Amino acid sequence: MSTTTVKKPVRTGKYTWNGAMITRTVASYGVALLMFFPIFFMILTSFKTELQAIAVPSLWIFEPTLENYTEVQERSDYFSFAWNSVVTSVGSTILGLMIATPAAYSMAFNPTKQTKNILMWMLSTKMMPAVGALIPIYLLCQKLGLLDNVFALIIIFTLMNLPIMVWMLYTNFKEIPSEILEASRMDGATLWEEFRYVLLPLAMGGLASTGLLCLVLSWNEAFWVLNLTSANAGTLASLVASYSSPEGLFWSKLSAVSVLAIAPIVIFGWFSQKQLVQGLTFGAVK
Amino acid sequence: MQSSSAGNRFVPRLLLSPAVATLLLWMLVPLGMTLYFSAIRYNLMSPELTGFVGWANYEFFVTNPAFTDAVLNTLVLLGSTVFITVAFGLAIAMLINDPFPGQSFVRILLISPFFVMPTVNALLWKHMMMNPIYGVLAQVWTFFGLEPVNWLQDLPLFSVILMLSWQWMPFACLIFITSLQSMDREQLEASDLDGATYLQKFRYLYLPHMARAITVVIMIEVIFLLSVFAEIFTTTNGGPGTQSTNLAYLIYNEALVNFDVGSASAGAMFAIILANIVAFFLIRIVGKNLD
Amino acid sequence: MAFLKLQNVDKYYGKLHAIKGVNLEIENGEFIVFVGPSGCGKSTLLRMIAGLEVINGGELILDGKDITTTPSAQRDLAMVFQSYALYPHMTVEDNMSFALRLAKVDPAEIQEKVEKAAEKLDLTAYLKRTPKMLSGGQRQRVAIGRAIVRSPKVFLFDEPLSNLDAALRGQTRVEIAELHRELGATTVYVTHDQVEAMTLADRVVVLRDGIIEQVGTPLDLYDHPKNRFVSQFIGMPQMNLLPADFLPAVAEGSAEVGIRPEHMKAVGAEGAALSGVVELVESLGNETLIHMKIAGKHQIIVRQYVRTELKIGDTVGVEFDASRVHRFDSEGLAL
Repeated sequence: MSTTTVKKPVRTGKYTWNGAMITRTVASYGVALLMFFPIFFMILTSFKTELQAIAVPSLWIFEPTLENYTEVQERSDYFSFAWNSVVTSVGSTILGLMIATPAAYSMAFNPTKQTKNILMWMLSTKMMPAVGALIPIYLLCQKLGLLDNVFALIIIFTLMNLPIMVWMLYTNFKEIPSEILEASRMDGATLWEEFRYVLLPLAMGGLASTGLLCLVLSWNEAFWVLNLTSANAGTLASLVASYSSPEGLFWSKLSAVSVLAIAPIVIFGWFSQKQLVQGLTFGAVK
Repeated sequence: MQSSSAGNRFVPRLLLSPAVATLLLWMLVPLGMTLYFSAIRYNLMSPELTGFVGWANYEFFVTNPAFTDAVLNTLVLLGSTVFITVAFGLAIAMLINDPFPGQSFVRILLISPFFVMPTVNALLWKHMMMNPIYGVLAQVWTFFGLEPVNWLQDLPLFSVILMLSWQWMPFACLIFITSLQSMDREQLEASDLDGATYLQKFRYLYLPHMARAITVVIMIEVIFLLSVFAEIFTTTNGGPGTQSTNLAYLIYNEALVNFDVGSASAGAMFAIILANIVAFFLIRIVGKNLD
Repeated sequence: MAFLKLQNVDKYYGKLHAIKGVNLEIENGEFIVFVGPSGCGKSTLLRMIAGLEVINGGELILDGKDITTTPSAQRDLAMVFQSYALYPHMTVEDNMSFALRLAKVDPAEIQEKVEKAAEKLDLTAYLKRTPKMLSGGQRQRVAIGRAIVRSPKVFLFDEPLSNLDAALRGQTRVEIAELHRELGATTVYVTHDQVEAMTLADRVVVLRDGIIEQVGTPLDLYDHPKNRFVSQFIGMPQMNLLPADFLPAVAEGSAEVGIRPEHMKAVGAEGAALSGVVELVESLGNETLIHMKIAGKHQIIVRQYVRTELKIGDTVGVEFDASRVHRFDSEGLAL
């Protein structure tokens, strides 16, 4: 009945510690730490001086300094970039959900022979390289005076994520028995009431994780940001890029700005991890 | 006879239309312009040269020795990354599936790379991990008495594959973990009674159960990896030579380094064709698995 | 004038003609049961009345109004689904009051109606629970409660008992019958279970391949099946069928002769109209079913209410009540 597809395994409270269990636990931590190591190392580097950063062998114990962070903030206004990141990702997520939800509803509950083809066509638009569309989009933005404009980025991010959002919502909606929606129609619900009082509460998990994924993808998008914006509408992706080319070897500052750029979304991802996973099945869990 | 059904189809169509219309515009407008540019002389450095050139841009782009390399690199990049992430993703998902203390902490650590911006990912690996003198990998190599590898110079494509795998494996892992949780306990218990080994269980129970999840992971990764750009742009700039140039990067190079929009547009048309070929096969394989 | 009227109603799925010009008139307060094998179109027909499936041809008239293209929400019908289709995120109370709240009925009145329905259905103690916390039978009653609080023009039931276990099914069947007697509401009920059809219906509609085979009271269908299909579908065990040449005395120009098991009697082999070999004896206590084969290939069943000494392999004769013989022509139509 519920859209929740993930069930937590039953825990007995105590684990039976045998050889296999110990090996498994140690191996799990090993793999996890290995995967996380680059991020950890970057965080560490951001608290080193530039000289400490390139010491060989790497320093593990040192007196941490905050000077990289203060320097980044002095040189470029972190918060204005961060604000652009927030506005563009949240804006495109909301806009995307507004367009994708009705489409996914229509496809999931009123399927036709064309439904699957439309869905696949939508996904195929995502496979074309953005570079191919760069010049036309650049020229269009120039014509419309939308270069270096937050609004243009919101539109582009929305279009960029739309196929994935429609697909994700579609697979989530399909897990809701259509009889429940029919029951609400029999109860006299209008399309809006059916959506508001029945579909929305039941699909909340799917909507939330679709929104979360879209937020992550938009936050991390660099290509369009680098090519269509400069000072006004630049997001954190362009802030990072501005530290990369000329000063690639100033590792501490680069690390500090990178940490600042990814921290909001990574921490957000940690907290919403469970929610994200639940909707991220794309119909893969039956 | 069927006419009365038309009224009933109206609302679903209306709801679908904004998504279809915007995506159609998003596809057709650039496509039309690209098609137009690909048939004219259009160089940003010499705007005085104009006029219709027919297939010349296509010819120029295809006869560019980098073209074959770029197509090959695109496919190798895609295939290797998908293979690595699926194989390791499966292994790790199986490893951490059963409860152990700190399971959710481990999961949080594992999933983190997926949230890291591609630009940061590339810079982090380029400098702090892969630098042949100061990088962490160089230190590890030295520790084992080996000659440090100059990753981006000597193994540029592999380096990019490594970065992409680091980013996408958590994603594959996440989907596999979710899929594993819906595995039928009774089936596993029955196989225990039948005396199945772990490998047999993996082959005959887990793998078939996860077929859909694997398909989904392949599908999504193909969508995102067919046009990888930021990682290459930030690290190797396609080099040395064309060793790590993929189609997306080659087009970028033509348009914004050589300023030849005409030729770049022809290249974009090739990329679109390639995308459609891949999409065609993918949909053939994946489509039936997804319903 | 009929209360609910189906006139030449058609349904197509692409090229498939699922409902083929059905005509049916239902009176106010009647309990109608649609019955038929799976795939016969009974659920489709019900969903067309509900407005959940588009009607491709013909007319649907309710209480003098043409509702062929009216959306479900405005038809004033209530439906109990096979899966119950309760709103999983709402309490029992909210499930039952949802329609009334949408209709902006006065809250005090809603409260009163829900409480009354809950009492009738023995759900008062569960009003604050969500469907997840209820048993199958309780969920079923909530689904019924959701329908009755609205006092709709017609109740629609789509195989409502098929997800319940046998004991509960019998009990709920009785409750539905009582409810109908009490409320007197027009009801259309779909089932594949002929016991439900026989016990609940004022009139039964037998469907096959999108066509109505016969409409009639349960006993009418049992005693006077219009064709071979209905004769086989109604009655458990099925009516025995034999080619006419086995019983020339009663055949009267028919192609096939049908006799219900209880109208047959096992007797001594000599001088009997028919004789066969016993294949199986089912002793159910109150009745005994004797399965036998006539001429090595025609299986028949004899039902008797006295116990028998017959054993597998015995040769027996069969007598029957000549006045209860059904005759079918080569097309399967009753003569």
